[in-house]
Amino acid sequence: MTDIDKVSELLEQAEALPYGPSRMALCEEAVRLADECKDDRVAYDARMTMTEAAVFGGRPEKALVAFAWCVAKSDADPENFPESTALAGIWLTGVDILWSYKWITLNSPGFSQISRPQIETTLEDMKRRYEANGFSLRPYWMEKARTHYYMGDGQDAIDECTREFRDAKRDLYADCEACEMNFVVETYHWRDDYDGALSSAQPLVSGQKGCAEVPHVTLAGLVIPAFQAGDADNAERFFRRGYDMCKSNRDFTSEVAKYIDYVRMSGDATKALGMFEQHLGWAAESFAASERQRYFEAGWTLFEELAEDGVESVSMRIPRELSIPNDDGHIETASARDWFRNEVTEIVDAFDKRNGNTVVSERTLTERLATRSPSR
Amino acid sequence: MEHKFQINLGGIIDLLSNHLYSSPSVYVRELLQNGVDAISARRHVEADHEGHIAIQLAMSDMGRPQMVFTDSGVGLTEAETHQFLSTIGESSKRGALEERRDDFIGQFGIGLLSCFIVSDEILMVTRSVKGDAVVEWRGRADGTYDVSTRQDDSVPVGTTVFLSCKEGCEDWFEPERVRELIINYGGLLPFPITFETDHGAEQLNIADVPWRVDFATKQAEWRANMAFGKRVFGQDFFDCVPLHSTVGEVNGIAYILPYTPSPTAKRAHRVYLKNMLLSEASDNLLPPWAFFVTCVVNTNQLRPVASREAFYEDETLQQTRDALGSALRQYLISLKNTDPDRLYALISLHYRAIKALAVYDDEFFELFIDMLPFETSLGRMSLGDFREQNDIIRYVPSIDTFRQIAQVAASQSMGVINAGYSYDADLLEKFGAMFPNETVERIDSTDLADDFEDLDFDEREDAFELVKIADLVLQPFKCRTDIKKFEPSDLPALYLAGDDVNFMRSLEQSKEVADEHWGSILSNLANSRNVDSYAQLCFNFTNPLVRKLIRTHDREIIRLSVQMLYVQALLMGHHPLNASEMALLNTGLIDLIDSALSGGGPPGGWVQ
Repeated sequence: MTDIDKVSELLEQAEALPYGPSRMALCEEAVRLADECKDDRVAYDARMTMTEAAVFGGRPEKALVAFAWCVAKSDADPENFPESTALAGIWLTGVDILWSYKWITLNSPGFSQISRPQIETTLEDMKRRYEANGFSLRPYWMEKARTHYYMGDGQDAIDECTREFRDAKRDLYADCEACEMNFVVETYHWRDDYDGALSSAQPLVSGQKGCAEVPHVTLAGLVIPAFQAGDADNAERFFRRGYDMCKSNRDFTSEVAKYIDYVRMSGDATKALGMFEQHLGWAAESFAASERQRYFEAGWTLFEELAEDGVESVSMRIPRELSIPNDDGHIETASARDWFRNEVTEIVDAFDKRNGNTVVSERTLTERLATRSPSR
Repeated sequence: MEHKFQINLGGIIDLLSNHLYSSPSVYVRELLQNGVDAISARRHVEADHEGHIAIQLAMSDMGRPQMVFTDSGVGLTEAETHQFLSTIGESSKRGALEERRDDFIGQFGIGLLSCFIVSDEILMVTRSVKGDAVVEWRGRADGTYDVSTRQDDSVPVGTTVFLSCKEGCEDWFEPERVRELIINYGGLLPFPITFETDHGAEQLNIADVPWRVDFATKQAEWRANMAFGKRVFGQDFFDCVPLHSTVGEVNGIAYILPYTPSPTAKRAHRVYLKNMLLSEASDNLLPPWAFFVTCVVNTNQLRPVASREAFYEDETLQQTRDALGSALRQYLISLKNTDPDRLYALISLHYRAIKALAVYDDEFFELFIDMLPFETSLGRMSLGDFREQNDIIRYVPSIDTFRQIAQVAASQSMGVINAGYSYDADLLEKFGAMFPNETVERIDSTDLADDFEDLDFDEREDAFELVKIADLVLQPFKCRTDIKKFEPSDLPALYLAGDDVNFMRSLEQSKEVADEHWGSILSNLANSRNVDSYAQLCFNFTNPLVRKLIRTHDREIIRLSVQMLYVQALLMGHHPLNASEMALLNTGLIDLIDSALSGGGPPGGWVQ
């Protein structure tokens, strides 16, 4: 078997695996081997496959690196590496630059070190490429709406994008129906409209529609609002079904954080602590500040309430990346609370600075207060 | 009286044969389905009606093959005959046809239509359980039909369909072929299906489908199940597991493959809906990890999608899948208690599938993780054996990294697991999360160096000059140097790169080709929290060449040698060279040769 065949075999094996570290490792090995072969074709294919594995395996930084290489290759030699591999409504190969671009724009705002102008230029570059190939801008408007929300831009800017999204036609590059429905559910959450979110999520909650990330993220988005709205039965249902879907993939670090919040709010702080310890490694290793932020928020309130309940210290394994003060695994809850609060503050300050407003820090504080256990 | 269809029948037939149905052979399936539905409808009226289907193949007077298909079902009245035809005429939209699948009469009409794929004319003689008139319907592919009624008490209740073979469709009337099709689609039907040709009559369906039989002993049941598997799939299996689910009303048997399947290969399950073969694919009936079995199942409740290759992904299906998955899981667990040898044999064939299950299922994980095989620097062994020999579970997440460090790790007799294979990294990550008292370390080559032996004071003094120069030389490559003692001693230097360094190397690689916009994004990305982007070149003090280099005082020779050792260590570790490293290799080699020719000479014997 030649090394080039070996690359194809590795990629085929990778694609048969669920998203996660194994799939990622096979893709990385394929990329290295392809580079050794000095064959741009396989190196391109390997990086495209890796972009997908990285996005859905919770390694967006690796997706950005692989994607940037592919964009450069495609721009330099568009004939051999076209940015769209769809012709007359049919895919000729799997994922291409236009399709992956959605994941890239979705994930960029989560890195506080990527600047506002860089994010905006990326979005406009995506738009230009969609237009140049004659495809509907529906996915662009969807990601632009999300970007506005993450970067704390006003509701008007978001509304304009969701209107444009609604009016743009669905074509080959539109997200699957489940993903689009999930987006609509998100827009209700952004306006704190639980009833709207719940009713628009019905086809996803009932399992009628679904895909690789839906209803995983949908259920996680609903669980806290359901509990807050007094809809305890649904909240528990969403948790039971949804946590199972998320607990094995670091791509769902933020979603797991929401379930930890929920379990604590519903009165089981011990269980919440166990879950928190189990997935803390994901947040510790996460490159994207937004994932660490959401997870550390869950830790902040968890240790705050443990401390208030008179639990002075707990035993917990601490990933080596984190400098939480501890005595051989014994943590003082009060100092853990302070540590997580400081981390969150540092991250949201970085986001505020990048965004040029204070929406993220304000939103975070409001949400922390709102997710305190109801008995308090 | 002659009536006219309201539609273009040719168009509909084309639609059915090219879009809804995959092959002309479906006419047999549709006739059987009509017969089965009619018999169940009759049972609603006469509970103890047993039912019977007879298929007869013969030659017509004109020498054309003919089929006579008779069922002892509920039959149709004249009004119903018109109703099913109006159904056909109602709409040519596929969606409307699909909706009709829930109603008996509509379904009947559509099923009968498929016969036009192989026959220009269909004659149906039917007598309803509700009335005594015999109705004769004759339809033609040009879209015309006649209906007439007569009194004839000698005609039994039920329906008979006469087909005469269309030009070019002779293959589909071949007795052997028709026989196979009947067995294929209707082999599990619970009432007699007889098939008659010039050579006589026979009953085609399997009377003793194992899940319908009460067995006296477990052994008898097992033997019957295995024999049934051989009969259905034509092969022997490793073992079998009965499947039952109240949700979806599912009964069946899963057969464990006697070989290791490729995880990407499609499984050939035989799935029956109300005892009629639905599909040989049905990917979503079993959980995704169950790729080590092939099964025969019947369901009375699940709803197939239009292509019939899968079921609607609804809550019923989810519960059914859970029930079937738990039967397989329970089988594995009970095997662990009753027949561990057999379980080990099964694991050696199907460890990939078992690992896939363990990733999702915490309880199963706890029971099985120690039995699962891993590749390690100490050879292939189960995790349990590995844990007995090693206090710490160290693993590397890729085959490449493993290759880089396996030799060194083995020389230090350190146990490291190669988690570069399917599910391994996920499993070990999970192990650490589930058992907080066990130490699981994901390591990279830098961690390996922590265990290398340090130099004593005098040795350090001797080596100081080399390390100092090497640091300066490799600074532009973001590489620090160190010197330690490690095995194997023929290795002069080891390039140690952690995950962060590897990430930075790939980032730099993309930056080399990226435009300004992406280049600036990548620069910002590199500018991240506490990322240690420095790699390390660790010289081996026990290596003779390195010792010679320490004794050399020619700084130029040291510079050139360090550069070449750096490039060599990169290549040995399978790290692709970036542009400046490639330049280093090119100029460095020339300089070194030049310097050797000018008489200074490099330290002898270092080129490997």
